[in-house]
Amino acid sequence: MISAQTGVLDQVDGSCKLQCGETTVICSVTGPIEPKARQELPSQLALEVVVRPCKGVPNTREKLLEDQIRGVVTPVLAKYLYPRQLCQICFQILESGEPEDEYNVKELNSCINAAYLALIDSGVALQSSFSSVCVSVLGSNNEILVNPTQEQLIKSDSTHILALEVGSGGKKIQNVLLIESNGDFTEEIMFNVLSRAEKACVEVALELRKAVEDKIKRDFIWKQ
Amino acid sequence: MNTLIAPGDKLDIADKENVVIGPGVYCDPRTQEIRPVNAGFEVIGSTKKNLSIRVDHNSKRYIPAVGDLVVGLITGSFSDSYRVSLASFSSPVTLSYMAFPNASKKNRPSLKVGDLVYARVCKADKELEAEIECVDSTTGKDAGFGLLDGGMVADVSLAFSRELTFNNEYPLLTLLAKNAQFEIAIGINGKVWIKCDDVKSTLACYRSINDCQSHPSAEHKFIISQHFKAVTNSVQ
Amino acid sequence: MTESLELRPITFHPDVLARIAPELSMQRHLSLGLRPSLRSFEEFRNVEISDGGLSFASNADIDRKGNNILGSNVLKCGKTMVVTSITGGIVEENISGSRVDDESTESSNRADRLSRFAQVHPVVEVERGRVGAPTDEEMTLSQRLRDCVLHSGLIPKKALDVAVGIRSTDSEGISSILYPDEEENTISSGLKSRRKWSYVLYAKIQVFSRDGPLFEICWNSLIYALKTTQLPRAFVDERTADLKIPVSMRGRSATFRETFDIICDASKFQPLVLNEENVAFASNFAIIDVDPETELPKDEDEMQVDQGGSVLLADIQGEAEEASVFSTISIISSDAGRLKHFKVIGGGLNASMEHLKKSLNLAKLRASDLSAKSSSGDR
Repeated sequence: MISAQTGVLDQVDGSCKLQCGETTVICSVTGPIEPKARQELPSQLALEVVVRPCKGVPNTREKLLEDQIRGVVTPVLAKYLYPRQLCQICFQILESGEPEDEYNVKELNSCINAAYLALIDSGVALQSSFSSVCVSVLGSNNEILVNPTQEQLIKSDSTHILALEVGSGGKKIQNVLLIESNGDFTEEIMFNVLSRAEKACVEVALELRKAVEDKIKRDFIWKQ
Repeated sequence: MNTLIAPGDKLDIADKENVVIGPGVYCDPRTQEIRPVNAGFEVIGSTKKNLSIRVDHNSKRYIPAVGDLVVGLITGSFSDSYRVSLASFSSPVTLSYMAFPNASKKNRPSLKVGDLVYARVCKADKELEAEIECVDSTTGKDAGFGLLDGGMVADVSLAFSRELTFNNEYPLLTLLAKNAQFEIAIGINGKVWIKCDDVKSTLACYRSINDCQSHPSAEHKFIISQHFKAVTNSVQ
Repeated sequence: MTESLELRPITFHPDVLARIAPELSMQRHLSLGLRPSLRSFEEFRNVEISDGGLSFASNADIDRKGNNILGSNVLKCGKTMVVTSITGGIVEENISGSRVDDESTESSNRADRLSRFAQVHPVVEVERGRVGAPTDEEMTLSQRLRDCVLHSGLIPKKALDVAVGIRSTDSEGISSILYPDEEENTISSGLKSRRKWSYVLYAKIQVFSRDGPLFEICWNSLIYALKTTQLPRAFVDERTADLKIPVSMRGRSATFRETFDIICDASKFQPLVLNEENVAFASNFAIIDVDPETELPKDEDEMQVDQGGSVLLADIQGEAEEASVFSTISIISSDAGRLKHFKVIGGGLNASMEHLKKSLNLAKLRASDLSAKSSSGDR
């Protein structure tokens, strides 16, 4: 489902191109660098998130995406290791894979996963690993679809996104970073979705780990 | 073989007593829990007294640490110090006028903005601006630091620059030396300054170093010979 | 000779402590079983609502001319006051030739869920005593409100269709306006099939004295405002209804069709029809770890209550709570328990299933509470 490549950009500290279904996003991480005066935090690392849409100029939709991504990444960073510094994470959506006016779940999902790989690539300290998955609920029998296609997405009654902090080599779930659900659903559906998404999230974490292992092997290629 | 490790994994140590943590390992100030924060190889070393643990990882951005030998770029000069950049966009570090051999109030060093300097990190607190020096501060004598004149700087990854500095058996420099005579200054901050007698050899060395970091060491000999062939065969 | 050094503990006024050490102040309160606002853990703030008499339909005595507010709400929650005013416009929809007056295509396309629903365009302004470009918070709030209105299916698209009336002047010079749904359908269907208009709704949400997260109170205020919204009727003049102007220019001739001058009727209006089952109200919760170390030293004979673990706080308020809480839950739920939006931002700790279930129940209770308020407000 996910194919990812790290170190695709030369001029930044960490980068990643990630494709998840119909959505493709490229992510760059620069940091820790010198912040602008208004961004500086006296005791911890400041975080700047920039999202560029696949077409047109960024507007409030991208601002909301930035806010959501910041909510996921902030608790995971080892912020106190870099006081008065800035970490800049930029995303360029290459393919949206969803009607942009109405949805942002698929982009958000890809962005979170891409951010993890790019942060690992940059060497900015992370307290743990994280992964995310997007889920939609379809039809009268409440079929739960993991990583829905665009066609399935627009027919869904509700869309959900779950980002988890996973530890111990992607086996143990440590923390919930983000749950966001929209649409029309009940408590029961939501708990079903959460337990399904939890499993899917662990699977994604294992896939991302493979990409990380590839990256490490490539990093030390000159040792062989 | 060292094991691969990623943030959030369990470290392979039994007790927390007498553990010295190195780069890539973080001790949570609240829970006192030790955990890896970078993805790389877990390296555990032990002495009689204690256990040391670090995560050997590769990255591009240098964070100053005391004792590191670095190549810096002078970006500004003040009444009593220079401002030096060790990595683009990173917070600058200071190089005091008094941190030169035979320094006195009257004897000002003659570095200009844009000059390259080889120096050692002498202060690196994460809350404060780091400081570097061009003198061995224990003896107060010249220790081979100072202006790097001419030559060229290759940007390499941090792990590669560490390998070049600390692994004396690493064959790259020996291979280069077979092709040309050169002066070299390796900065732990991922900057390798190299200078030969003629520009052509400098260029070949620069290209070789850049290329070799993305290829296995078995291919290095071939890569180097290719680059030297390319510059000698070129038209004047 | 040694001078004795005296160490005196410094004591702060609670307000000062809350400012300089919000986390500590918070934990001290929690250990007493209270919150800095002196509410108990699962207690919501009271909400006062009124329509503020702002809208053109709310009061017939006021001169209606120049008032373009279609619906309004003033919501007071603690110190915070939110003023929402709904304004609108009429846009002409593009009708492709094949889709003319073909209701069946729309209904067969029902699988595409969001195409059945309409949205409002909110602009949130958090007043902070100066003007300038909107802050990130205002932008994300506006966008979230828009997304939630659309995804919750609150406003059916049909509710925003304009039933255009026709003003006809009879031979005696008395003009009358006929609406298709009022009188016997006497209007030529020719007009109806060619053109289609719909209302667009804008919401301006002004927030005064921000005191905690705003999304939920903005949402509630927006819902109340939409419930009071009245859409003005609109009509066209009969004479302009089918006007063609032949033009010839440099030998070429063409026919311009006059754009219809759509006029809003100031005296007649209809309520905006919402999907009642999708009306939902928002509430927020925080999960916070109780740190036993910050507890004030207790008397020895006092029972040591074990309060380790985390607690659920309803309705986040104040700087101290906002700053020291890492996990927040935001829920939009109808009083029947249908969920429209659910958001958990984690971080500091694990949002356990227990807390989630509890918060969902509380959100449901809160929603029925708030919806009762709106119906009593209507009277």
